[in-house]
Amino acid sequence: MARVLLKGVTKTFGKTIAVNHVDLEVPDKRFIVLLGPSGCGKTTLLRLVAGLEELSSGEIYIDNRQVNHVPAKDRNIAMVFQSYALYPHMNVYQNMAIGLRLRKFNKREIVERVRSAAEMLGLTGLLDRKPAALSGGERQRVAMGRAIVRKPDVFLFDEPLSNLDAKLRVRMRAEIKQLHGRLEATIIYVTHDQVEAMTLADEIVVMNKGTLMQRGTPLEVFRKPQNLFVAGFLGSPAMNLLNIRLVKMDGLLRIRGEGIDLALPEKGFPIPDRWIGRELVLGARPENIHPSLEKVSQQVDRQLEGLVDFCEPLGSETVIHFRVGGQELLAMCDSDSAPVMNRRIGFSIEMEKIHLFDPASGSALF
Amino acid sequence: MARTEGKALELSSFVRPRAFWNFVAGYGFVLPALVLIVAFIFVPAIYGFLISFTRWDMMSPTRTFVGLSNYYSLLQSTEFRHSLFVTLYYLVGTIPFTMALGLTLAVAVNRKFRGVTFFRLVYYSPVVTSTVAMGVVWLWMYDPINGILNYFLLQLGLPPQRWVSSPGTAMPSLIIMDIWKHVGYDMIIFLAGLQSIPHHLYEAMDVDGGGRWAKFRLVTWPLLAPTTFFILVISIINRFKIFATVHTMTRGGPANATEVIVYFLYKQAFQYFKIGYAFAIAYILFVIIFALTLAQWRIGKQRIHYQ
Repeated sequence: MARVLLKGVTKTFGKTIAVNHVDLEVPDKRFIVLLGPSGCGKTTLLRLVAGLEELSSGEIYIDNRQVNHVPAKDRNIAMVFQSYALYPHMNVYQNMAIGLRLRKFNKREIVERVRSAAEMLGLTGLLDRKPAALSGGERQRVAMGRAIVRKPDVFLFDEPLSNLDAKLRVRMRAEIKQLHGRLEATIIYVTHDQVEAMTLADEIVVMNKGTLMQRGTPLEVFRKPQNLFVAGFLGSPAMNLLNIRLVKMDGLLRIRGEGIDLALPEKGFPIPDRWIGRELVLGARPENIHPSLEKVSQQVDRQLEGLVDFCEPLGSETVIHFRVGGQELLAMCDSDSAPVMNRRIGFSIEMEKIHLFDPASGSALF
Repeated sequence: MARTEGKALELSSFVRPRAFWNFVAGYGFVLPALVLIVAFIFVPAIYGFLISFTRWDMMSPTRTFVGLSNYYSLLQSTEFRHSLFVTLYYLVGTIPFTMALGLTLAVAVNRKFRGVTFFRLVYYSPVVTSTVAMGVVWLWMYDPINGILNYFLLQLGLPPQRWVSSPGTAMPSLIIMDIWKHVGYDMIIFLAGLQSIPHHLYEAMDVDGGGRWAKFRLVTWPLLAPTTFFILVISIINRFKIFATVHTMTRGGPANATEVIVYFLYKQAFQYFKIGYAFAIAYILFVIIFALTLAQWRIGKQRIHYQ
């Protein structure tokens, strides 16, 4: 049972504000992923929870106990480091047992816990190897084993998969997910990899420049980004962001821009009148824009005409780079129906899935 | 077609002189050092080895070949055995303490605080000070009547010592000075070793529940093993060769209490002019150091965790 609660957590290094007044509650047994670009403060936030950094201001609670001045070793947390931080002179068994040894567990208990963790992680045959004799994936497992044997209240993962090759990363990702199911533990996991975040998290917390940008389930943050940062950061290829203007014609709202004239669907877009006539940003994911086979004139309310620059086949799908007015856009299509370069063709937008943002504040309109 | 041929020709004729000049330049750079090493180390070493089988007083043109008799009489000599024992005393008295103190200082200055560079500099400065000049200053301090050390002892109500003038305290006096001189060297090497230990291992220790002592015992000490081993080997070799301080301060006395092996050698060569005998000592010293170093490497390979 452990809930982690952060209240107004701030960390500064000299004049740099690494973490700026963060409030965050991580409920018991929840798998939370802190996601953001490098330098956004996510690792610092994790280290603050671990007790490896001193708070500048704010409060941290683990399981209703304020731990601001509690040293790392007394917080009952376990951490998996990006570099794994295995002790190079100790074998796998010793690496996993050390946390228990230092906490004066009896020998039989230690052997039992290490054995069962090793079994869970498939390390049984490697217990007397030194880290130097292990592969990257094995080292990663030992680092997790060292955390598991402790049965801590909270697991902290600091980009644990970033040193692995792509294939191994996918496998370890799956293992971590299964592990969470078995351990029923509270996990805070830091990554800059959105795929990792999407696949692992119960909830994603997107960070930028030391502040929380949005929190929600993976699908929530993906489908309903609350601001331009989250919209642009999540999704690959990234969301198209276009400068447009909202106008009212014959009682209906239309989106106008350079080469753009679209109708805003009547349902699902509760937009206050004060936005009418203002400059806005239209967000549309590439996967919601497709080259259309019909003539532009037939579907005018949801179509753009664009000049195809080039195509990037990804396998089953192809990314189309095209231009509307002066703005560059991406669309997706089935690889079999990829258009020819340097041709003007029509693109249809799934208007129900667009987003509108205020360019000044960056936040979503609805 | 003609063009590509011309290019190929041009290339091959270019490659060869280039390799040749590389060769010349390479050996050209090595040559000055090589000449010096051969002339002043290898030639004398081999020449000395030959001399060690003769009886010679350095002046007379005749050298009598005596076979192994220099070596034989050395092994019989009680003075030689005494000098070996004195050297051993010196080794045991200096090395463990210098290393322990060096490590302590290294840990102390391996932190960020104001003036840390100053402290590092201060501790290191004796290492680069001239041994003879240092010996003279320490002689003043050790002076039984006017020396500052006895002054302090008296101030503290302790009995004054005769320091280097008494057979009982002469060796400890040399040892104290040696520790003072060499602790900075050990500190610097240990400091380099400490700084090569990844910081995240200490953070892992923080999380695993280790305090300061556990961090030292379980991370610092084992990961410093290669450094410690290096210092140990270097220290043994250097301490075996101790001469200048002895020559400056005690001349092997009083009552041969500080007659280390190299001083014994020096006496045989330049006081008694028994050059063949002296070279035999040098070669025995060489064999001892060589054997010790070899043994240390053997042990080191089995016991020390190089990553």
